[in-house]
Amino acid sequence: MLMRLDWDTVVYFFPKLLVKLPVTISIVLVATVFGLLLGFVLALAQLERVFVLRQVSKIAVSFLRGTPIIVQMFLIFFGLPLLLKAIGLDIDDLDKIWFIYLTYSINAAAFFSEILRSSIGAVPRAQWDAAEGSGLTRAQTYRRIVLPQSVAVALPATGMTITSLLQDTSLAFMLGIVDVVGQVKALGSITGRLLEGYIVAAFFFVLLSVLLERIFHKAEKKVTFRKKAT
Amino acid sequence: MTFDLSFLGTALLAAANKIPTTLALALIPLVLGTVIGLPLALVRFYRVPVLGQGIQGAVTLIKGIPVVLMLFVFYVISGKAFDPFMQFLGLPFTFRDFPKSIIAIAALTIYASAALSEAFRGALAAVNPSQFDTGAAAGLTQAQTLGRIVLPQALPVSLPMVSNITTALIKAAAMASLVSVVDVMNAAVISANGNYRYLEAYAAAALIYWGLCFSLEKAFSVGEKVLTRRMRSVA
Repeated sequence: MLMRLDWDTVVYFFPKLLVKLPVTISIVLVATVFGLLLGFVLALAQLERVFVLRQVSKIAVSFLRGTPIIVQMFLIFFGLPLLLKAIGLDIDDLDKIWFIYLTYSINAAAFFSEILRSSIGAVPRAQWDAAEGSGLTRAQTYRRIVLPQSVAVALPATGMTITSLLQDTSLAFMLGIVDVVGQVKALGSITGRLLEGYIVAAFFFVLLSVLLERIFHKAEKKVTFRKKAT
Repeated sequence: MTFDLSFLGTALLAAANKIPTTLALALIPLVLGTVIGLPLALVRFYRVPVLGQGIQGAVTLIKGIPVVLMLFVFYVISGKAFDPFMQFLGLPFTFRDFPKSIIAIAALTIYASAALSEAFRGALAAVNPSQFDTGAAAGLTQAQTLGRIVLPQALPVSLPMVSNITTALIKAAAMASLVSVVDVMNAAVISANGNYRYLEAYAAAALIYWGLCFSLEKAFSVGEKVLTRRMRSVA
């Protein structure tokens, strides 16, 4: 059999994958929001040298950065129900997308915590002293003085982390999630054509990556401009 | 069903046997990616017209495509093309005989080339431009300046990025199990196929990947210190 790309199939796949784009985007959005929140907590535990939590945070970050996300996904998928059953909670009927949201949020948190830690560390010591001298509490110092300054430093790496988060969502189909890639698999078994589906899926991923890059490039410009103006 | 520690041991042993496979899946692309990525970085660094823009476009494209998709595309293409090609050559091989690890190495090499070219370009840009003029003033050719002055300074700068790319490759190599390569992850999962103790199997795989990434990161940070110190002592 001679192999050739069937362009009619490419056209057939296009709208069918387009409607699954929200699933992919929702994983990225959920993981970004909760990853940033949890990542900030993990970073704080290390920055503020909180007893025991600091070590826990360090080990968790090292583990999450040092193991493949597919492995983390299955650890949560098989481990969490077992853990919750021990305290009498049954989650057998829970939609699998929640396992995905959890895995990607925790995974992203590890990468965000490293970014936040180093960008907060990049704020000069004198800023802390000045804030303390002005009578600001520690929490106020973080919110009004330190975090606004660290945003500019953290932005490029944050953009890169979100982009690789987007790439990682392509593994969610392993739990049977029908995102863009899951849809290719499902339609592939009906039509017998996978290659065209993968190509259309790749197109959507490239499009979203470029879009993300543009957004962060613009944001960076805005932030550095504001810094110069003050 | 509880966590079975003794089976964790069994799975660890089964998975540890395949550490060489996972290392090969990650390190061969790392070496090939360096060989391919460095010239690409130089072309972009010197802003070679047309070629530079072409490479930039290709890098953006490759970095936008998830590695799994690249892997699947190669798998489908080689699956369809291998048998007719072998028939054409008159050889008695079928796709079943084709080592699938080649597919994974090819996909990871493409990914590594793009990522490493970015790392090297960044490191080259970090070298003080006056070094080029100094080299020229000392009567060195452009190639000599690059080889003896610029690259030795750029190398230590690129190491943290190369370290990140290496651990990313180790983790990405786990996807090779999706095209039925028996690596650390697949060996762990296969060991659980009889008793369905997949949690222990994945925990075993996680421990091995963690150990691998941790040791590689440490090795790179030692290497970076040694190289930076040597650069200082020369200067």
